[in-house]
Amino acid sequence: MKNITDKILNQIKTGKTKPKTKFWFEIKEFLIWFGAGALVVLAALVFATVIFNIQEIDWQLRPRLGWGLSKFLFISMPYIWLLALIGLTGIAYYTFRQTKQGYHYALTIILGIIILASLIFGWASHSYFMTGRLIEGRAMKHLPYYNQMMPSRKAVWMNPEKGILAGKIIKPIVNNKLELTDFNKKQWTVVCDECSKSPMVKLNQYDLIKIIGRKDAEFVFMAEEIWPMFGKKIMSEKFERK
Amino acid sequence: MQSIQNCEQKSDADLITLILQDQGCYKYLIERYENKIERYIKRLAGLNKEDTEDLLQDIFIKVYQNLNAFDSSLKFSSWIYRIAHNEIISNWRKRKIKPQFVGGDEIEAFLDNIASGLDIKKDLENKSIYHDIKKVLKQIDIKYREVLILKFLEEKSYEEMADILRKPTGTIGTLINRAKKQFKKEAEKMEIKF
Repeated sequence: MKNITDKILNQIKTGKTKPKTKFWFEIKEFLIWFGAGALVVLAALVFATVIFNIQEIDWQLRPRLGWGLSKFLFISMPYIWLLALIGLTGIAYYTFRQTKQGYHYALTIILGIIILASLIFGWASHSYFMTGRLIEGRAMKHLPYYNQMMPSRKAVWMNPEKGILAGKIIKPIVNNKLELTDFNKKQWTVVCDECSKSPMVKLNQYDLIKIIGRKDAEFVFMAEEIWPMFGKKIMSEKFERK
Repeated sequence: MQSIQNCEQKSDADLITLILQDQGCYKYLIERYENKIERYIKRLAGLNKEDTEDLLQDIFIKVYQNLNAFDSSLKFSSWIYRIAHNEIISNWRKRKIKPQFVGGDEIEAFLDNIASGLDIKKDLENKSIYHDIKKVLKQIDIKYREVLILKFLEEKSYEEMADILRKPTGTIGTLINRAKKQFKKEAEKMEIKF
C-alpha cells in the first residue's frame, strides 16, 4: 500500500494534480442556486400562461359545437404548457438537490416549495403584469410550430362549418373585407357587412382575432361578431356596430 | 519536522488546512483512511487487488483535488466515503459490470450483523447460513446492497449514511427497509429459508 501513497504523493508533487480553488467551488454553488432560481422563475411564467389559457377557455362555444363537457375540456387544456410546467419543476428539483444542503430535504418538501413559489409568482405575474397573455400571444405569433402543437383553444376555433373561425389578419379591412390565415395556415376572406365587433378589435395587420358567423363558400366566411383572440372581459363589453 | 508532527496530531478538519499549505501532510490523511476506503471498495465493488488499488488511487487524487470543497459541517469520514462511493459507482458504470459482493476478513461479523438486522434467527454457528446470506446479497440491487454495507459493515449512523449517499435521513430508513424486503424476496426466490 506504500506504493499507492507514494504514487499519489508523486503525482501531487510533480504538479499534475492541484486542489481546485475555494473560489471555483463558490462559483459552482452560486451557479447551481442561480440555475434553480431561474428555473423557478421560468416555471412561474409558464404557470401564468397555464392560468391565462384556462381562464380563456370559451365555454359559451360548447353548445354551438355540440361537444360533451369531457371532450370540450380535453381539447381545451393547454397540454404543452402543462408539460413544460412539469418538466421545469422536475429540473428545478434536480438542480436544487445538487446544492450543498439540497439532499437533506425530502422530495415532497422541495417539490412543495418549488410548486408554491411558482404558484405565487405565476399568479402575481398573471394578475399584475398579464404575463400569461403576453407569453401566449408571443408564442402564437413567433414560436415555430406552436399553433400546430397547441391545438387546445385553437381547435375549438377551427370549426368554420359550425360558424367559428380564428386566425391572424394578413390584410387589414378594406370595403368590409379582410384576409385572414387560420391556424392551419389556410387563407380566408372574411366579410363584415353588418358584423359587430368588440371595441378592442382594431383589425390591424397581424392581429389575432376570433369570429362567429357562417361559412359562405370555400374559404369565404361571413362574420357576425369579431372578438380579439384574448381577453374574456373584453368579450362581455358591449359591441360597437361596424 | 515540526510540520510533520503537527500533521500527525491534528484532527481531520485541521489536517486539511495544513495540507493546503503543505502538500506533504497529505500522506497522513492517506494513511488514516487508506485501509478503511480499501475495505469499502472491496465490500461494495468486489474488485480484484489491482483494480482496487487503481480505484483507491483515483479516490485519493479526487479527494486532494476537492479539498477546498470540504464542508466542515460534515464529518470528514462521511465526506471521503461520499467521494469513494461516487467513484465506485462511476467506475462500475464505466466498466458496465455489476459490482460483485465479496466479503473481506470481517465477513462473519458483517453476516452476524446483517443476520440480526434482518431478523434471521437461525443458528449462526451453522456456517452454511453465511454462504446462503452471501448468495442472496449478490443478487440484490446495488442501491440496497450499499445501504446494508454502510449500516451493517461500516456501522454508519443514519445521518452519516445520509451524508455519504446524499439522501434525506428518512429516505435512508426507507432504503434499509426495502433492502430487507428485497433480501427476503430474493431468498424466497432462491428457496433459501432463514
